[in-house]
Amino acid sequence: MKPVTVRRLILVSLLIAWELVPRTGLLPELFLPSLSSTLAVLWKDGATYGHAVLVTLYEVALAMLIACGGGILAGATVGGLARVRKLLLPVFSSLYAVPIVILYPVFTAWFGVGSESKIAFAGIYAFFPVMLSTAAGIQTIDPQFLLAARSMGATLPQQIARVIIPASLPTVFAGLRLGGALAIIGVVVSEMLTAAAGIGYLVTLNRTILDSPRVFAAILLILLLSIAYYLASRAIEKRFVVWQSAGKPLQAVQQSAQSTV
Amino acid sequence: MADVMPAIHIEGLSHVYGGTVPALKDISFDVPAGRFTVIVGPSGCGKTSLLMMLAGLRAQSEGTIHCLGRPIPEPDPLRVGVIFQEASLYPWLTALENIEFPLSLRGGALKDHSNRAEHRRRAEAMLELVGLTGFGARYPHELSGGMKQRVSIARGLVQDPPVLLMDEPFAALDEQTRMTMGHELLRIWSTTSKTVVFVTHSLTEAVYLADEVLVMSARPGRIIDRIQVDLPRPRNYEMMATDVFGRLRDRIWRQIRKADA
Amino acid sequence: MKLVFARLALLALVLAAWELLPRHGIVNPLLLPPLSDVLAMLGELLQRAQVREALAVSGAEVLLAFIVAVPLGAALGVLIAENDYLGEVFKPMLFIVFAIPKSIFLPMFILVFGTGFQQKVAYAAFTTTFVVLMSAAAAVESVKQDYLLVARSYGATRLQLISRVYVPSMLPILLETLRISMIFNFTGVLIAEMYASRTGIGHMIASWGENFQMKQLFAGVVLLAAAAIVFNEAVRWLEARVGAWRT
Repeated sequence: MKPVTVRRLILVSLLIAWELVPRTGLLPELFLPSLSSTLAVLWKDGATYGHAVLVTLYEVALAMLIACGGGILAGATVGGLARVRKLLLPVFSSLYAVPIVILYPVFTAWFGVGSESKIAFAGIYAFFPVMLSTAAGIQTIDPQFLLAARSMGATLPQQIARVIIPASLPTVFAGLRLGGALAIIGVVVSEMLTAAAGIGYLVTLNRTILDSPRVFAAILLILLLSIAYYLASRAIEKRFVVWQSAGKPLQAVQQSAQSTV
Repeated sequence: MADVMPAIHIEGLSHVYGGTVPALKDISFDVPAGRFTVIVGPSGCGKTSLLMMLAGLRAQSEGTIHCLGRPIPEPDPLRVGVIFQEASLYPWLTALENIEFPLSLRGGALKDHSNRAEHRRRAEAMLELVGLTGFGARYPHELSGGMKQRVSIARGLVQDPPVLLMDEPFAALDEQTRMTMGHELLRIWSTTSKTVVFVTHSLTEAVYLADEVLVMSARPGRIIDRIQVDLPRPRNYEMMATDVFGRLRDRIWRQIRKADA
Repeated sequence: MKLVFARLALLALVLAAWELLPRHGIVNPLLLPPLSDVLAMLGELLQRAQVREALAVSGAEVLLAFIVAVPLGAALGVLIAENDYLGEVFKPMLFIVFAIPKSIFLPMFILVFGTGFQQKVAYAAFTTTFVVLMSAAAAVESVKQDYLLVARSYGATRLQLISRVYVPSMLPILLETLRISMIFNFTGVLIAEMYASRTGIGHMIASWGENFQMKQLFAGVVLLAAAAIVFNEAVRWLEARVGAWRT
């Protein structure tokens, strides 16, 4: 059986199990509400959930601005300038070991329970991996590219626009994909911890009142959101970065698995 | 012989890396126009540095370099074309676009669209010259090593520089492809009247391609022998089996070993 | 050597800023207490039984989750790497798994296990298993085919292949795996503690934050950050010793 088929079968059976296991009483509805009751909630309460999604997306977008905007620029600088790289890269690698979650209470104390603390936390959370990944990626650019361009008489602006920027695109796209994924994760976690709005907040709110279908409706939305982002960014990458070398798949996962939550 | 200005005139050229490591010592030679000169020597003898200086990509510590009667302090693609060991084709451009690249740099604009049609015509003519008609739309990652080097050669020729510098262009290829490419290069060269300076460390390649072979010593590099190769043109593979060929190759090898000792 | 000095100088600069900016009111000391106050508070906290208990609880959770996750993840990872078919089926799913916030499963763990010790261990083990799985699989794949071919051509048995080629080749990577998994593990425990727990240092930090006890909060942050960095660097040092042959 083709692997693709197996995966689809697994997915379908999971969905079926989600529906049947609670219905047949194998697991209480409290632990696992049936798929249909979960979907029913989304249908009934579309407005609430829709609004929550918008709040979350807003926070993710701003967090991405910090993480990708800042992270890519910082990464390009650190990766491109040998002196800066040698000085700072080991420092940042060490800092990576610290669970950033411990800073979250600091952000809530400083910024309150609203969107600002989520944006700050998710922004910082995603910043370091994006920076490290960009720094690594910049170094993979073949130094001969610039030599060849110079030999063809390219001026400095031409070197930047016609060689450096196109050569950096794969790295930039990878940074955007990583940053977005981590921003979503960071925002969701922080919304679950202390918040007043957003999908993460809905998870926690309904959990405390033991309304399982509502909890799982929120969980389902988060799942769909993160998977949708992943598929969309992969599709865009493939479309624009035709020449990316394949490389070993698991090492690529290793690079993308920078999230700690 | 008429007193014609040599295409390349080098006098008293010396170079020291970083102020301390002597790389080249008192190099002097002339290359008449239209000749195929090969520079051969052991690894690290500075032959690549010499080529970089001839291309205007690096400044020498002392001595003069004149190309077509004028010094060459910076790259001048209309005078000198350079072909590197690594094809250094830009992976985000097709083969044809890679060949067009130097043409689109002219005029200093970021992208020169004024002569699109003309550039395309010339690029396609070069593509045909190197025997790759029909492969213009392929990306470098879809081409074999030999094909990439052909594109690289086409790119070096597209501006029609009277002087062509080639730094071990076939070193990354397997021996059979090397032999074919060498033969191809001679065919292409015979349709033009360019002056070629070709660097290699293959003795066979040197004798097969050259009108004159300059033998360099190990670091600091000096010219220790100049060997005229009087084999008739067009060259063919059968010549490699002749006594003349063998003796020439022997002479080069003995010189190199002597300089090492 | 110059680099080490430069980095130390950078660190000193940051620490000095942390001390002086709040002291002189340039930064609100209520929001960011001066470094010396934070360190003094840290000393005080470490003497309180309550704090020590919380640290012990968290430490136990971290350890237990690690002990569960590592063998489980390693076994699954090796399986995926060794078995081509299983690998082809599951590898693409791994990418997606890592794109999902695993914290969304916390409510499920709470529903099943309650809000106590077991839930936190289970959740942390859950998140860490995936990391170990992926690293282990990558480690197995990284053992060069050439090394294996040479050993097999000399008639090495499966056991010999494992002990004489796989293990030495994978040792530095395994250490790296442990190091990175621990980061995830630690994070998982802290998140579970912050989310719905009444014990553990994560919960303590969260409640200090809620009660605006900034000195205690920062003391806790400094302590945990230091612990994480020390562990990380220790394992990194070990990795370097064991894997000097790796370029």
